Amino acid sequence: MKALRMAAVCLTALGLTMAHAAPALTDEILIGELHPLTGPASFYGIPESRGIQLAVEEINAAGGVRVGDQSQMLRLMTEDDHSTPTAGVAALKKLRAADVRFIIGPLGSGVAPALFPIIDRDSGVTQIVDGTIAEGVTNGRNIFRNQAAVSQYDLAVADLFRSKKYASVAMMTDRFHAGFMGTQPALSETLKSLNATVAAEEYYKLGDTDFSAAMTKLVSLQPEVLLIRGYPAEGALITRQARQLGYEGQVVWEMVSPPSTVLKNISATEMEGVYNCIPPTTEDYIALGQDKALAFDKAYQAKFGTTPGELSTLSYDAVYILKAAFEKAGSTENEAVNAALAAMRPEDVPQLISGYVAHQDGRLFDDVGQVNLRGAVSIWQGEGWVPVPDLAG
Amino acid sequence: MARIPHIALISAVAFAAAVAVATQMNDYLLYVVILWAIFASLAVSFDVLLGYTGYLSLAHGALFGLGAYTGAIMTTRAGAGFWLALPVAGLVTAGVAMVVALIAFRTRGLYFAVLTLGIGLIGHQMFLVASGLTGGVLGFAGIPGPGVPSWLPIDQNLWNTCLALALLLVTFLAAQVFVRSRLGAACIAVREDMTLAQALGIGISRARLSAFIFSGFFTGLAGALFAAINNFVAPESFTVLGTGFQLVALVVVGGMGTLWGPILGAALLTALPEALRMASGYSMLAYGVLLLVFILFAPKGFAGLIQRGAAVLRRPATRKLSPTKEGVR
Amino acid sequence: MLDLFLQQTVNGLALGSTYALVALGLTLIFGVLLIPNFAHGEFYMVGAFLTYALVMAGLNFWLAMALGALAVIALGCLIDLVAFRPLRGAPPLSLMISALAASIILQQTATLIWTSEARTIPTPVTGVLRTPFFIVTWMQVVVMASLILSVAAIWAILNRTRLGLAIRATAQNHDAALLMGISMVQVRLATFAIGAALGAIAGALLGATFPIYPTMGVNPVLKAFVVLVLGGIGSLRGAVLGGLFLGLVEVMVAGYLSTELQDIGAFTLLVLVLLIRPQGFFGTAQVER
Repeated sequence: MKALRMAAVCLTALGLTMAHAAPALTDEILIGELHPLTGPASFYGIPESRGIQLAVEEINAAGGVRVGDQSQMLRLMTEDDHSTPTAGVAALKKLRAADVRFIIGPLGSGVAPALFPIIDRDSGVTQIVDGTIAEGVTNGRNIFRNQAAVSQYDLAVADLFRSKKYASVAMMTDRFHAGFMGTQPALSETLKSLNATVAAEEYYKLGDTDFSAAMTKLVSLQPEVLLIRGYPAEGALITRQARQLGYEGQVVWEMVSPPSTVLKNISATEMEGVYNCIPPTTEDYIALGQDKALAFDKAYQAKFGTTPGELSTLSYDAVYILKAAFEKAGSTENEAVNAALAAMRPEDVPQLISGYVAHQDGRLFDDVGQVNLRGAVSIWQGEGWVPVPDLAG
Repeated sequence: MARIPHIALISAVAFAAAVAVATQMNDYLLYVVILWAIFASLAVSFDVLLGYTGYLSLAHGALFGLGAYTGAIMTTRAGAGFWLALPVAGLVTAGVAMVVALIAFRTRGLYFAVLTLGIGLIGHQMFLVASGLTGGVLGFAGIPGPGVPSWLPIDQNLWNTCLALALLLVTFLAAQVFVRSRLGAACIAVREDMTLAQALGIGISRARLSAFIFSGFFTGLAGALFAAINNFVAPESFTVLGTGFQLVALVVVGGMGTLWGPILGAALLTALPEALRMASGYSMLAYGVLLLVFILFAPKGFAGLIQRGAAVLRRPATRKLSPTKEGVR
Repeated sequence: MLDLFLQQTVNGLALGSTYALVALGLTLIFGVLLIPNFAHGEFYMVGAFLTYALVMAGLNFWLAMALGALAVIALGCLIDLVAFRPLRGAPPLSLMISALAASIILQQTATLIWTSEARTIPTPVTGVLRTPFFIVTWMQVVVMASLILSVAAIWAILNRTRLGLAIRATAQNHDAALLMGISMVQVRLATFAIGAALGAIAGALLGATFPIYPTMGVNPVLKAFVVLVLGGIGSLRGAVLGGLFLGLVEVMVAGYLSTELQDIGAFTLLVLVLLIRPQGFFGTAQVER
């Protein structure tokens, strides 16, 4: 009973200690970013957060954002979403309570759908998703995404099957990955329509280490293709275990898998000839020798003392997309910025590193706020992925 | 022991005070309060099982999820209103809890803990596999929130907070009534000495079964409210390692067998990760260190610290006897 | 069909021996000191990371593993000193929370040092053994052999040395052992050292087949608790057979039913076994009505 009095006291204390953050100065634009900075997903989240920091510093150093006839600086507020829905929602509410009206993130396919209903009905906030590939987390009104959707990854898989005329396939999908699980039935249908027999659809989960049961079954079926959809640590392990058990067909990956990570888990010889079907990522743009990517790499290494992550460029791009929208709208009112984003064309943002293709009407985002960042087929040769140019079509 | 009307009065005052404080808060703080109140309700009902019978269940993360999904399915697929879905979720969860208990009470000690851990893991996996019902890993989206009554001039977030606080109030009072009943007394007998209790003819099976069902019912209510407030749930929120162990930590840090200690435990462990947001990268580390420090230096939890402090303050006064012996069977 | 079944059986035994290897150290510490040591998964993780670091620095794998194990023994004794010894006589629940806290602290420290990127130790033994009936990698053979060696070594220590006698006496009756003048400090130290070394060896060996990352110990330790309960707490024989049994069941469920049901199958089995034998295969009866 004293406890209850205590509880009331604590509650008040809670209210006092977590007081409102300082409001933004008038010549500042607050940008909130939400990424996992702790936990297993931080391997992807931290490089995204750093990509944003770098872009914000660059923009501020170059004089800020021209809104109408006045310059405004960007101020960044970073929040950790732990890659869980509850922490993500709490982080979003915290940003909103500090009057942040522009948000970049999140990474997690489990976080984005939890944020969606809140942002969807909140006309006072604009979100650019730079991480998750899950379907159905944008609306084209105040939620946009400059990362590919899984269905765009799947297009590259279909390209590959169309051109190679594979007759059969077994699929291994990470069933903890909301994005890949979301398009699993559709992709399976697409492959069937391309005359490939789907011999097996098997599942594993992030952190699994033993795939021998599924691989033994697979070897007995000997499909022409083994398609693995998930993360590279498991991808490497599945590839290795399949080979060890005597699988001789083509291995195809559909996953963000920078060569540096891949080679920490499997030897280059075992990877030789594996296909991957995703849009190019940071390491690809650098390997291609693209000027902006090289400059980004250099600045990133100078600032953080380590190489950028595969999604860093997307996060970097997201900041420049927002900047272009502020300047085009001549305002930092959400309604105007949303309209500017909806009407934006890729050429309006010359700083973009990722190779966005304009939609048919010339815009960067389509009606549901999705960029066109199509998956492309690459093949592992020697020490890394090499584009396979003659496939797209 | 204090009498029920006495406790009810103080609780109601505390509830009113909490609501009054809440009206001054922004949406973020309200959300933190909601999380606290929901986890405090879970912890209080869990304390009835853990603190009063001594049985450690790790299946409660899944039971929380069962309540959430039952509520979600009721309000979306079955078209029921929130106020119908809430008790149904509680009853369904209590029913499943009864089945779990009948299986699990064949064992004791670590066997009981691991058996319920297994059931918790099965439950979590079922949420993933039964994707037709639950949405699987993609989560269950579009759950309608508890609508604000039209005569109330407050917004949704404040109303959600009031509901969560009300759930905590109801759970706390119900738990107080339960532990003072004959069943509650029998539960303590189970904890203290099962053989003796049996020899005295105390119905231990009925006592511990009812404690498990009691905690199941309120866990279900909390789940349904959690789902309605978030409009979205995913299996990730109902894991054994996340939610299952979290509940144990809340109760132990708060003080087992006190009912009010777990409320403070929930406050500490909900507020801490939020307060440590700026120390991102070190926040989980700090959480681990705090847990360790608590268990080493305040083994009776927050409640124990406060009781000791209070005893020091009014030394001459007679000390009240409270349940002391801890232990898991 | 038959050779498919044989292959799946071999797969199951190979997986099961990894479970058993992790469970050995856990069951030893629990059986003797009654500590539900969740941090065992972190002994396993640190063993894997240290071996990785040393191998990357150019050391031979086996030497790296031995050095890693020594370091983890020191870590194990430190954890005991900080997290468990102050709680002597406390209820198992406090010990469990303490172990959980230690496990979180170790995971987070490892994340700060090594980041959460997954990596694999270059396999010391490569190649595949192909028989007419089944295929098994030499690394899997090494893991199974290590399991047999570890069990033999523990058995020898427990049954052929004075220290082993003291450990067994403590496991049977802590107070009586104390009265007999057995040094608890020595027993604790020895038990933790052996348990931690077993964890580190398991980590090094499995880190050469599986990816290593800071939270890699979480799932194996959960499985190891299941093995512990299946086999009967404190029983070495139970840990080995329980591990092999769990591995076989998981592989058979994944191979013949569905990979989605692999975990559900394993845990349903746990529930069924405990329904029939509430004390596990080799535990002493303490059933109640």
